[in-house]
Amino acid sequence: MKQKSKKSELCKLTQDLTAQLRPASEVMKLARLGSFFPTRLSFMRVLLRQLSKGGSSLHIKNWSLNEKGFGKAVLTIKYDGMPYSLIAFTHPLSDAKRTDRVIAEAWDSTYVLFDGIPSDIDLDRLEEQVPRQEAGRYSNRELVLSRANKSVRLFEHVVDSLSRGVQPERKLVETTGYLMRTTAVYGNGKFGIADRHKILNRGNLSGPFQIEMLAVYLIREFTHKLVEHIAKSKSPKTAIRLSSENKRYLGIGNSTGLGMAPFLISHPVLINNWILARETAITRMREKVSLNISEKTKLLTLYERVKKHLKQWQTADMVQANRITILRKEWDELGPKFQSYTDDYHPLNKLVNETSELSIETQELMISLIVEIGGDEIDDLSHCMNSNAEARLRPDMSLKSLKKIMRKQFDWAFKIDFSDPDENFQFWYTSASKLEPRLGLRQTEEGAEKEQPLDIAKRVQELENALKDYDENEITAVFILKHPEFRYIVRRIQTSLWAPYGEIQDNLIGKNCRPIDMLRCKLSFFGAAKFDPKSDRWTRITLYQGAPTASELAAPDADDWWLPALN
Amino acid sequence: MHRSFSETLFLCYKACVGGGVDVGNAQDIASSAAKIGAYQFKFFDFLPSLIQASKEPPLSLNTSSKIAKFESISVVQNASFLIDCLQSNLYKKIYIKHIDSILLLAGTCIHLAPELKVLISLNDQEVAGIHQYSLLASKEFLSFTKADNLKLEIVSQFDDNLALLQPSDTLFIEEKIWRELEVLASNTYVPETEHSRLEGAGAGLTDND
Repeated sequence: MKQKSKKSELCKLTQDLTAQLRPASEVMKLARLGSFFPTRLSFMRVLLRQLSKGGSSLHIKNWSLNEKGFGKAVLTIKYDGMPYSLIAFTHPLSDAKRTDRVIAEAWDSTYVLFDGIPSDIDLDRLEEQVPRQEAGRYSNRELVLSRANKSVRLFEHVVDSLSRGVQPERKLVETTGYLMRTTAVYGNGKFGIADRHKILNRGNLSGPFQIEMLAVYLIREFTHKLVEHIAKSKSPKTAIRLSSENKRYLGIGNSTGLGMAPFLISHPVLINNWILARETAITRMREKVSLNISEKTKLLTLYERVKKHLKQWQTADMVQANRITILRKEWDELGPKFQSYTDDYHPLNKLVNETSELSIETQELMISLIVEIGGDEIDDLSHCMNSNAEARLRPDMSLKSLKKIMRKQFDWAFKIDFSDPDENFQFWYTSASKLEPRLGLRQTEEGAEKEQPLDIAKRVQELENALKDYDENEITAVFILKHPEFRYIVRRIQTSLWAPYGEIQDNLIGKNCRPIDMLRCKLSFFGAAKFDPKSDRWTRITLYQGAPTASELAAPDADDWWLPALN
Repeated sequence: MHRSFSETLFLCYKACVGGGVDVGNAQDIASSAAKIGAYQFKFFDFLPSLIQASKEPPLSLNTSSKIAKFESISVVQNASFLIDCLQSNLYKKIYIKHIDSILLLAGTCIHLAPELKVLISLNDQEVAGIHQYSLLASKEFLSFTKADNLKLEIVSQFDDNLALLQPSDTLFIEEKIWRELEVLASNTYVPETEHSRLEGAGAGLTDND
């Protein structure tokens, strides 16, 4: 109870700071959201801090893999005193069938995170279902469902190297960064697995995406053990283990597409809370008057680490590659400022101000860096990132008030000219094929009448048009009765009054909309880095790169892995 | 078959939209259906037909009195609005001659008006009270489907005859009903074309890095 009231007090303080935070009109632009970097409030960081504090340790409960690494395994970890088990199944897969798309029907490996320790009956049941992924059926003992494909260029090379008694080539490790990449991580009730409310009372695990991040962390552990197992089976006499440094550097890849984007629109309150916590952390750090010696050292160390990280960030995507080039140059030029400001008052604010004329990506990198300097000052904000409240309709609100909120919070929506075909260019839809989310071109493709409601700005304009015929003293309930089609957008507008960071302030159906910006925003909250776009609607990333392995969680530097670099 | 709340909510939402219900109302009906379904799994048997019945014109409104009287109510189409009226103090009492699902109406109260104390009576007999996401009801309430002579009102306290009911923490929905909801939901999906398969997701068909 005490912990709960402390948390609510903390979140209240956060709300009080709103006036000093960067405004939503600045933060909630696609270009900025698409330039976010992970911070120490990112969900992977939060999870590992808790695992580290709790003294968690990993145990292999079952390891039934053949010499080629095919079979099943169970890895169990205790978190807040309760066991959670990753059950892994590995399968032969031809290159022709290896796709990261939702439409895939076979994978190199499939996983489920089980609540507790599975019995043999559970394992038999799950062996039937898990390899089928979306086509399988699950119980509420299962918390997360996932699958991963091998990095063909690295996986075999690592196995081969280890079997010959040498570590893998540094360059290849650096450019790939993972042995396998997940192509979906399903939680919260999908296909019959446990609903999120099952874990809501499990302390730290109840935070956003904590259970999914735990599953991915255990998958990473499994991949490290898997390559060592295959290497040893291949050449028992010469095989060696993967070095600690390589293990730390090898995270888990992830392929992410459009499916992630609608989430940001359909959860306005949750997104508001994520951004609000982040912006609060930024403000607190900018207000920091001075740095102590250890903070000064950390600041300079992180500056150098970022330089290395940027050098090691590779992508074939021209847009992102150009951005990285600018980022590297600007970061280099900022070097002297780090030296000169560390002894000043408000050094972190000065550093942020130095970036105001630089690229948005450099601005956001600096923002993430100053947040990294925080510790106890900001880490508790992670408790404010959940959402217990839903968007609510206020039927008693006068139309005058509704219009006022709309004009204040959605002024950006009125600047878009939807008579211009480029602003009404595309539509979001769900394909009948495995329900894969896709984008279509309105002028040339069928299906626009089945568009998903991501056209927020257009709906706002349509609402304003409809409101013209109504007396401003009339209440919302009366208007909604006559125009039920506006219930959805009215609720969003009313919610924006208390959740100002809940709306992306750009046209999501315009020609210039880059869905990848939404993906990057969400992935940065997960803690992902090294964004490697494959198009403007699809990206690869690396999760847990640089993170301590399970055997290193107790190390004093276990939390020091923001934007890692291979030495 | 066992169904999670999350997948039920999602499918009910899609089924409502696929059945022609507006997005905002579909969100509310889906949440309401999942909430009341946790008290009575059988409720879901009627949901596909309730969705398909929601094609009536909107209710006509008379706000000169705090008491409203309606002849016939399609709950999927109008329940959210009825609760809006209570919440906004537009009406204090609502009389309904005929409603096609009293359970979904109760679910809508649970979902939309947790801060109110809403009493539902049938033929002047108190049958259910809703407050703070909880349902108090008479013994027979969960066996009701459609109903006649219903009264919905805001009260300060409930009758002692109403007992607090406990919702299930999981849902069971017959396979046949699930399929019917899926058929409605499929109206929201766009058939695949070769172009959409290759271009729509923004990624290639194979990935071997």
